[in-house]
Amino acid sequence: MHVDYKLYADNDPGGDLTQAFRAMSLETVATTPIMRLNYIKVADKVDFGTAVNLGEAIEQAIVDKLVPSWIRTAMESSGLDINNQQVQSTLSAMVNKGITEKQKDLIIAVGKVEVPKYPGLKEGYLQNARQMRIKGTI
Amino acid sequence: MAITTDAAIEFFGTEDDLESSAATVADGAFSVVGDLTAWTNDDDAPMASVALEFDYATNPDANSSISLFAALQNIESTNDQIPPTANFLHTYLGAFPVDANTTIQYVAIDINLPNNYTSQLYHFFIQNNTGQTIQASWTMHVTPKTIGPHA
Repeated sequence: MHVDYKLYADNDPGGDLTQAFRAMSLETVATTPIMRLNYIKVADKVDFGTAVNLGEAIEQAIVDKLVPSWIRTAMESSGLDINNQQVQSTLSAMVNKGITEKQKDLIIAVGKVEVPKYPGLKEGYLQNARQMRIKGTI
Repeated sequence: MAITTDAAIEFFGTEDDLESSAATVADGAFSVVGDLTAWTNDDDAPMASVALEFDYATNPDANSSISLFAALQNIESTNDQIPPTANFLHTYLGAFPVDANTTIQYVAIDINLPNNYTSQLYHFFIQNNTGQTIQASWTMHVTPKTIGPHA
């Protein structure tokens, strides 16, 4: 694993080493990895009513020929990537046509995953980063 | 059983204490130049016994270790190996196994000495892989040794 001492030095909050390490360890960033949601997962991660409303909205969209019918199959099996921009646009088009704005936002929010900003950071890496910064090597 | 005449045995030089003003070494960190004094292999010994003396404020991880590295000095004129980092370890010499307690520990291992010229000058570095910070004033003792015939 490559240790990015410069990154650690650049983002070091300073002060006591242990406290600085703990603060940096707690920092997170939001990521949007591929996250397939189906009805079951919407029921689990948002709520059952939203999953029901989403089903109704998709059925109506199929009737209205806004989306193809395979969307139904996908939502009943492996699901669709909620972080895909086109999926989000389609979902937005269903607002007030089966789901509410709030339900749409809650479904999209499921796709955001918080991960450590400095994965693998050790207190010693920060200690060495400080020493390197003082020496001017980073 | 007595060791027979001319059988290969070890001969030991004088132990050198690498006098230490060593600072703490946090988990994952390498020590830095100045933590240990430089050591000169006056006898051109091919190997050494090195003993690390250290302790913790909090129990380190069980079955963890402290790695030992060298940065050889003056290997080409006055040019040195640079100190090790996590991204380039340089010359690995061995590892000190660590017990999970807070009393002072003395751990000795044998190392080969990769001499590049006569009276090679060494800077030794440790890397703390024990999950806890090594307290300040840790130190190391180096005893050069060689093999020769039993009298």
